[in-house]
Amino acid sequence: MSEKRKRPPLFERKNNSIRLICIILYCMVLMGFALLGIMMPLRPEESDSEKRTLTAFPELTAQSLLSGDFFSQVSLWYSDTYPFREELMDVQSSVKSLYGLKSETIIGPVEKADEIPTAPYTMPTYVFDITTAPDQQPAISTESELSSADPYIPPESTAVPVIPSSEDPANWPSSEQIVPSSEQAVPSSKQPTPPPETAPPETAPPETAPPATEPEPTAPPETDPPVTPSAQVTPGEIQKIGSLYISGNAAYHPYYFSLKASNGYIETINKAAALLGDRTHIYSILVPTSASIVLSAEQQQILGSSSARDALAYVYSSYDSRVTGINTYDILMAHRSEYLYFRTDHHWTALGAYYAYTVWCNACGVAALPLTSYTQAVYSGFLGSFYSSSGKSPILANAPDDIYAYIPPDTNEMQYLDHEGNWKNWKVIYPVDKWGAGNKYSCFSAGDEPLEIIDNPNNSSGINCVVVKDSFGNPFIPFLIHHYDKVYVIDPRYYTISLSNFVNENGIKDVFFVNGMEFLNQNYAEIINKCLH
Amino acid sequence: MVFSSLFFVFFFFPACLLLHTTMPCLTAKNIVLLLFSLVFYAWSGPSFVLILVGETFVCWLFSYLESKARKKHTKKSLFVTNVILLLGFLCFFKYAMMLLSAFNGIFALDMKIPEIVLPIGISFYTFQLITYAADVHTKKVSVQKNFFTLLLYAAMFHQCIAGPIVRYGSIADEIKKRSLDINDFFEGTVRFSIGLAKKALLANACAGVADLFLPAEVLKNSTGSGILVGLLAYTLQIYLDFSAYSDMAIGMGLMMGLHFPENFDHPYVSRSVTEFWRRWHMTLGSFFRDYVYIPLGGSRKGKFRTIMNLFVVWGLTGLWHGAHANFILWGLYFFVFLIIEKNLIRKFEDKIPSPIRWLVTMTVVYFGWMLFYYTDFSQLGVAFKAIFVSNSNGFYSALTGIYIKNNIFILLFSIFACLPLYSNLRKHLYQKCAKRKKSAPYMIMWDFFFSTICIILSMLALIGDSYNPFLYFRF
Repeated sequence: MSEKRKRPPLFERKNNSIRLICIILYCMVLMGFALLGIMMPLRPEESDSEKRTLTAFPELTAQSLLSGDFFSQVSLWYSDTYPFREELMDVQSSVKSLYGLKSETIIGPVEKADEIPTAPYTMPTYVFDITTAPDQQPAISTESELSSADPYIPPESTAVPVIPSSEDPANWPSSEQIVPSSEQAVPSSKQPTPPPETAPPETAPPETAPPATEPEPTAPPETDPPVTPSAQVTPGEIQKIGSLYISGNAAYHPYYFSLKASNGYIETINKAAALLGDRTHIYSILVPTSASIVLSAEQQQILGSSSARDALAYVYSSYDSRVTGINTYDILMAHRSEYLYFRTDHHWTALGAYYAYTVWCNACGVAALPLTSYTQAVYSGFLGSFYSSSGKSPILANAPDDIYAYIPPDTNEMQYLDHEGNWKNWKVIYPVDKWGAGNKYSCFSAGDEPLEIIDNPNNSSGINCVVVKDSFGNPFIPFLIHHYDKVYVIDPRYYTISLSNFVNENGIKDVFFVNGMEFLNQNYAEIINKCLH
Repeated sequence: MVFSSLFFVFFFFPACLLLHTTMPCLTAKNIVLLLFSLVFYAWSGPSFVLILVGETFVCWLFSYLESKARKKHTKKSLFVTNVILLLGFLCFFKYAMMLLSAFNGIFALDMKIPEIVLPIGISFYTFQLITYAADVHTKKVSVQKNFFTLLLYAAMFHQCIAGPIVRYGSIADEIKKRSLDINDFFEGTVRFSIGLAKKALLANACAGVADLFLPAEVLKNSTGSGILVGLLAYTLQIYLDFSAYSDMAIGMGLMMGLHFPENFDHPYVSRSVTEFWRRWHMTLGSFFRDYVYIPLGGSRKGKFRTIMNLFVVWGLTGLWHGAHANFILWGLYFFVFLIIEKNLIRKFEDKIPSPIRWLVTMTVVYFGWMLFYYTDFSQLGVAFKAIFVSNSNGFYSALTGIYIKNNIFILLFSIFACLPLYSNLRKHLYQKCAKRKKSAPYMIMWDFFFSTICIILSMLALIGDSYNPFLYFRF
């Protein structure tokens, strides 16, 4: 019938052989991509840049078939694991850079921050379970209206001899206490795992540093860390990035103050003060985001970014008097032209952490160890979270970060409890030269492990500290080693314990809470709260 | 399944095309087409296939009975029952929830509103079946005795989910007898590729820009100028998206020897609202004209009835787009402008310079999309206020400026893609060759090259769509 149709001149019956050749070539392109698509072995299973396991081929069940889930999953699987996906995406991000003028880029809509109050937060009164006699109650700051009793304060002074935890392995965490990090956890089998009986590590006298019988890892893993924290994402941790601002060759995440979240954090730290304040010194170190320090006031205003200075002042001024807030803002601002923050990642650098450490030293009257006494290590080619959340921005890809790490003079040995509940020997600064570009931040203090211990062989004072931290704490930890016998590190996202018992059992004198300011807006306060008993 | 997915473009369609092309006889080709169409439809939910098959069966049965009936009033009642049943399907799945909540609102009732999932494409295939039933009734087409042929017509995957609305009469012959034509096939590859690129590259990018300014969650941070830019992006997106689907459907049809009607003719060059609706979603417009407006009496029954008929047609046109009050208002919005145009402006239309007529038309269309976008009137009010009155963010901010700069080229290119410049140039060059009786090998090679580039770029964009970094802000 088509012959009868009126054809526009477009369909002039000429050049049919050329058309035929073009049709064949065109179909070959289509079929070629289709063939590539069914090359099962070429299909990737994990995405390095996205830090996730890619969609698996769905299981066929009667229910999934009838609901249509099976089919939609097949479509998703097909595109999500298309061969050479990562490489093709790199090309796509270059195509996308042609969409507009990219000297300054904002990815995603911006948020609106809350106003920062000028007056400190007056906390609502809360009550601990009263199980101790009133005369055993700690003196509680009237400002913070903590009128309740604290059952966790030991009746004796805080100078109770440290109970070496090694004496009672039962005191040590069992794997049940470890918050499972993810269903999609990357197996850590790439590393030699010590047999269970080798744990706990401290079977040797405290003076001998790495006591565990576990063999030292002979060579660093070729590509990936033993546990790639970033590859282990629990659904609760998947955060919306909000907007990402790219200017020059660096990305920034604006800081949006949230009154509710900040007050929640203040309450949590003050609760810690009520719980531990009479036995320990409590230090709160809040780390501003790079946007707050590096970007100009005008740029911050454009983004609607809150003032980190005001936010820090608000939070610190609302603390219980037993908490020392470390003013990170002023010192970082004073050095803002230095390499304090990564360009392709949301964290601060070890140099930024060092400056915060000097403020802490001033605050407690100890001499800061000069940076020159540390051995500098450089790991180049780091492309962090900003790189992946920017959709692999070519601007960032062309300017990867260098990680400058400072190997502590006292020791570079540490142990950590991994997500499966096994103890491992590790390095405080781990050589990550050969790790994937997105994982290199894990060179600091083993990344985000549930529990870590660093024993300083040059210090047997019995004065220990515990750092309760998120990933912003990692580069800060190495600087503390010099000042303590043992540095304990807890990541409360993966490890829930009674901080009160922990402090008692391990001779903890100082407690550090180290957090990135942007994460006050997440549910971090609640996570810490679980340890405050 | 959607056309703009890797699975469709690089698995489903090539497989269907390969089998369709290599099948030796038409019956086999039709079986392939029917099976693929049903699988395509089942992809969105296997139960929806039952609705499609059931509705087609009802239509086939009643039309068949009607053709067998002798008495005129039996024929009529069978036809009326048929149409009521078809519309019943549509109303139940598409409008029941809206009607119930409206009842609840008006009569202050507390009826429980069931969750009814809209089967995709029901608006399109129901209308297609109505054209069949009506054309059988008016004897424009002969009845189809084979149910599966009618099912193939209703379910054909090219057009069953996003149009064009193909009338049975225009395709019936080709279902029974068609031949593959190299010219058509080649033209099909070009149309398909351009359509895919329009959707995957441009419409999706424009949607990204609109999402920066228009959705409820960002509206409170948007400036007036931001909303205007977002609205421009949405204006571009809705045309590019919708016409892309029609382009792909027409292109895929051509590759299989089927000729579907055109659905869009560069509506954004229109110089009157009437012209806009002649160029926008043409098959829907002509459906309402031929199956609603004219049967109601059209313009033959006096001025008042004409206006009433137009009112009904535009209310229904709006309602067809979605089960929300804003869509009806959107239809009636055009009704008002069409009435004004017909009765007031037409007399001195020629005296107004074209650019001004174009500008006014586009302004009407542009703000029309605002009505189309917001199903929630309170949000519409917020957006409207931000543009015309002001909000706390002011009319313009440096942030809006950065967003615009970041997307300026893709927006400009999308505007270019909405204009008929490229297609006219192409047509002109082919015609020039035809006039001189010269062959056009370079044009053909360019078309091939362009199509391939479109396919590759679209593939990259679709791969990027599944890029979903676990924003592992692990604090």
